[in-house]
Amino acid sequence: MTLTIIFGYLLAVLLIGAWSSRRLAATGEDFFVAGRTIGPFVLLMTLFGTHMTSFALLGASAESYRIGIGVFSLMASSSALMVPVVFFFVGARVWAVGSRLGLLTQVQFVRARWGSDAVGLLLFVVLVLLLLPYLLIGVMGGGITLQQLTDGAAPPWLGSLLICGVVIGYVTSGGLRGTAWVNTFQTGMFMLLGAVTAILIVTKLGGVGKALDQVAAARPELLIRGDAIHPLRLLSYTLIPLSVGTFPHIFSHWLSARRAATFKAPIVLYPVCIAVVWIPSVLLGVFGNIDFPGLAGPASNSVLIRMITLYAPDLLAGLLGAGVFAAIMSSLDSQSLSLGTMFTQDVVRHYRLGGELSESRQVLLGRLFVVGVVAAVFLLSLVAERSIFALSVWSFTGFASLLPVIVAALYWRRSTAAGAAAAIVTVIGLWIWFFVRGFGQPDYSVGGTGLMPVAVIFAGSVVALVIGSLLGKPPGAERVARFIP
Amino acid sequence: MTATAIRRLAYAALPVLYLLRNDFWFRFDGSRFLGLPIGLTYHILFSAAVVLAMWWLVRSAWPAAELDRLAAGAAAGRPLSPGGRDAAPPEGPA
Repeated sequence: MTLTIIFGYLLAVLLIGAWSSRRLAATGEDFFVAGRTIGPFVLLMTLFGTHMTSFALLGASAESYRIGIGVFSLMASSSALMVPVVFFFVGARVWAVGSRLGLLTQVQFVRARWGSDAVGLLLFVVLVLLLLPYLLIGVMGGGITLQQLTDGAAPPWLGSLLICGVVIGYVTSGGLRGTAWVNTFQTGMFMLLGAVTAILIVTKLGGVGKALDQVAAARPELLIRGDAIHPLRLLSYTLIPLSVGTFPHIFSHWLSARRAATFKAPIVLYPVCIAVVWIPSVLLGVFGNIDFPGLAGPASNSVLIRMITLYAPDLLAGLLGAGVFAAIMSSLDSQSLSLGTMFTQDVVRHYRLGGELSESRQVLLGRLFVVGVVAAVFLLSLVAERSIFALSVWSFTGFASLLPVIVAALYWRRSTAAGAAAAIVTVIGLWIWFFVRGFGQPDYSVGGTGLMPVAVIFAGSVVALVIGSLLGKPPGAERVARFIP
Repeated sequence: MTATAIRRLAYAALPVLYLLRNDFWFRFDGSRFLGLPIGLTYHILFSAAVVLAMWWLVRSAWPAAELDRLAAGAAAGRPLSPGGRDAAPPEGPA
């Protein structure tokens, strides 16, 4: 039954993708940014679905199992505040500039702002390198989830292959419009299924109050934040959600909006979406301690799946599997499409490899790059170590630390290509420095103070941007006026 | 209160929210409020406060005129040329 529900779900996703392809005009703008026609509701759902990975279901519950309710304050409420702020101050402006200049990627955005090919190329390399592990985590997560839900009957590569095949199917057929439509469906699915799972399990536990009493009797420290999260960690974690301002896949969705006012719904309602997904995940993770006390290491990652297996093995396992696949695919699709867009626009088209690109050839190349990227990630998933999951916070750290470059492009007239380059190089240097010291240590902080590396790297990025800009020659007034009226 | 003052207040609400998110005062409080641990209830209510603040922000401080100027091209500028290359002359250090 589990597999039947999952296969039924994947079929529904493919049908939506195929349906959206009927609206596709064979132009690069239509394929890569849906002809800039996406309305408020679809933009909200697709931005949220793209941003949230399977971590919001499985990772959040596992983390809450280990350290308690503090996970919500650490991760969910920081995103609830910072993501809408970034949409307001950065997203809407990026859309306005992008729509005026016909931009499709961040690299084009940076090149147009400062007139520097080198900065664009540097940013391209950094974005691709930061995004690849993020894709890999999603593909591997899908395989592992299916294996656990089927009690080992389905090997990990099967789940990964299913996800990759379906994503290739609807992304190449419908482009960003298909991706946005499917994401709207998928986001609704994982929000609904997360809530249904929570209600069913909590009801069987005797209600929230009774379940909390049991946890309070055995592990009272899980019901407070206590010492599990250092105050400086709570303070500095707020910078991590700023990564939403530099994710290439979020950038593509911003550019797909119909008009600037389309951003209003995502700005206001984003915290509601976060609460709908994270409250059940955190509570279920904490309640996992009632039936499965003492899980340690990787075993604790599967606490939600263990609870489902215990309380409603068939129906819920299938529904949760579909929900996890939805969460994974709604990120993987946009990520692979954004990489396909970048390779097509920032490399092949920009450097005129093979001459001028017609609109139909842009679409063809975009499709081929999506297939290539997803296929490469699938092959990598067969040989990658599971320790790669620890890379996610490092990937977010890198993206978040690049945000000053985008903000300077939109708000600081005196910023220069030298400043942008200095910021990016500083981020690379500091990121490597901290990564070498902290990778594999989940609670790593700067000098053991509780301060997360992102705080130092972000500050370094700002300082380098300012010094580099003041030393460099500013762009002319005409160029600046296209970004700052 | 003038529109400018309301807009400034809406902006000022953001750093206040940032500070309120760091609820050091409930760090060791194990009591319950609205049926949940108070540390969790606080952050759920905080998320609701963010929704209200964002609604206020888009109502009172939405930079419509500026965004229109950027999008419609009232500001000087030209679209990218075919090939994705920047049409403006290169300026500043590369």
